[in-house]
Amino acid sequence: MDNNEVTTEKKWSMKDFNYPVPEHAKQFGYAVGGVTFVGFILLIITGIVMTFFFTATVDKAHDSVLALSSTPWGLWLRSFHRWLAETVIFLIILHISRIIFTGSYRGSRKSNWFFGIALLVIALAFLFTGTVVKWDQEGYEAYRHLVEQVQLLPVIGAPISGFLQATSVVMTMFVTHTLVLPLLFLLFLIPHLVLMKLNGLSPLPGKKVKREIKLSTHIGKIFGWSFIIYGLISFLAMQYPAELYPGPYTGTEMTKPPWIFLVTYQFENWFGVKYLSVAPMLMIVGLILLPFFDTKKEDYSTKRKIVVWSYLIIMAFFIAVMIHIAITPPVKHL
Amino acid sequence: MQDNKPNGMKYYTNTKQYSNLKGRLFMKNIFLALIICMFFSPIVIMAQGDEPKEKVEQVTEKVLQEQTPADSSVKTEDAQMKKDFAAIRVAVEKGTVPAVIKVISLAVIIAGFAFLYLPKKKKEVSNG
Repeated sequence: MDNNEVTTEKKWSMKDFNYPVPEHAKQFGYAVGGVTFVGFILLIITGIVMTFFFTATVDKAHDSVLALSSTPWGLWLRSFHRWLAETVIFLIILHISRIIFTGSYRGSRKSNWFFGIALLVIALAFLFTGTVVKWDQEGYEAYRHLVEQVQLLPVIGAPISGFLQATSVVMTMFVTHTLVLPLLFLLFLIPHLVLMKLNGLSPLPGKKVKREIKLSTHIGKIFGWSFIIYGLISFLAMQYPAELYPGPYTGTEMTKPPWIFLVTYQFENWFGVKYLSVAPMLMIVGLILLPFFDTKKEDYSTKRKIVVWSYLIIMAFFIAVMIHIAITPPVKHL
Repeated sequence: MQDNKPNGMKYYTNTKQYSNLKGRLFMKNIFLALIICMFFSPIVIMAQGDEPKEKVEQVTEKVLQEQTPADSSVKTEDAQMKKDFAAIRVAVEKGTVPAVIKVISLAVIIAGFAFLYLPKKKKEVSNG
């Protein structure tokens, strides 16, 4: 070999993946995205296990869920999957809140903000389809509302609604829940993670990075929080198993949706089924437009009063509506 | 020399700075308008609500007792379901599995606290 030959080949080792990150990566606010990711992995694992016991037909779906729930491990598995799904949605909201408070959706992070919003919408679709597939009264009522909403869409409404009613509803929702949505989720998650690596961890408002920690310490914190939160959910799943309503019946409405959809439920109470999606639509559109309107360079939440206070007021309104709906009896809409 | 710049621009040295400021103000106004719209949208929509409120009926015990066949079946099945679930829970609680699951969950929680709060061992640097 020629001694003068210059080699540019880089030899990678595991140490290269343990790169330094800012010290504030240890804080919960900056680890909550990772905790949510761990939650999704657990949802995939528990979901795959449940698939072995599930029969995706209108006649058998409810019976198979009931059979699964009749064993202690099955009851825990289903309850853990359900409570975990709702916890992950709550963690996503915490993640979004931290990003809004620190203004981390601006500049080079704008495109990653959009991928994050797409992931939020997919997570909500996961929760919705998961509610329908168990095909009890709650699932049936959710499905009826979906058909009503889809019919209102211009041009594509009629064919989609026709498709929903012509196919076996449980199978359609099951395929969406276990195949279509995971693929879509992956499609948006990969660029979300790649852009996060390229942009680096968003800065702590008003502070320069003085010290750095290893990525492994950051991951250790993510696992620490995940163990605490999901361990607690596992304990509570055994203590308070997720409810299963009777097999669906037409002509009645007796259930309320999962907590995240309670605002839409209130809009339906106020204005009718046509306006069911108004609140989430406005919220999603508002989140998409946010980086275009908030272009201030300051990171301090105290110097971005309009955005921060608007967000807090909207969240307070949503929480008040949720509490109101939670303590009032269910209402018949369809 | 007379300054021909418009009033709002007199503190800015070039038109680019001035137009940037105008753009930001414009965006801020639109964002404010959007927030206001979000808050007032319920009132605007209320006038055009497709269902009169009187038609919306609460599902109370009385409604369920009005004996439309479906409602009656739901009530019976719901009661049966609750009974079945109560039986499942009693059966489940008698076994050792729930206790095992709870112990494992508590162990996982403790491991989480250990991850967060136990000090990390410092690596010893060896030269040999």
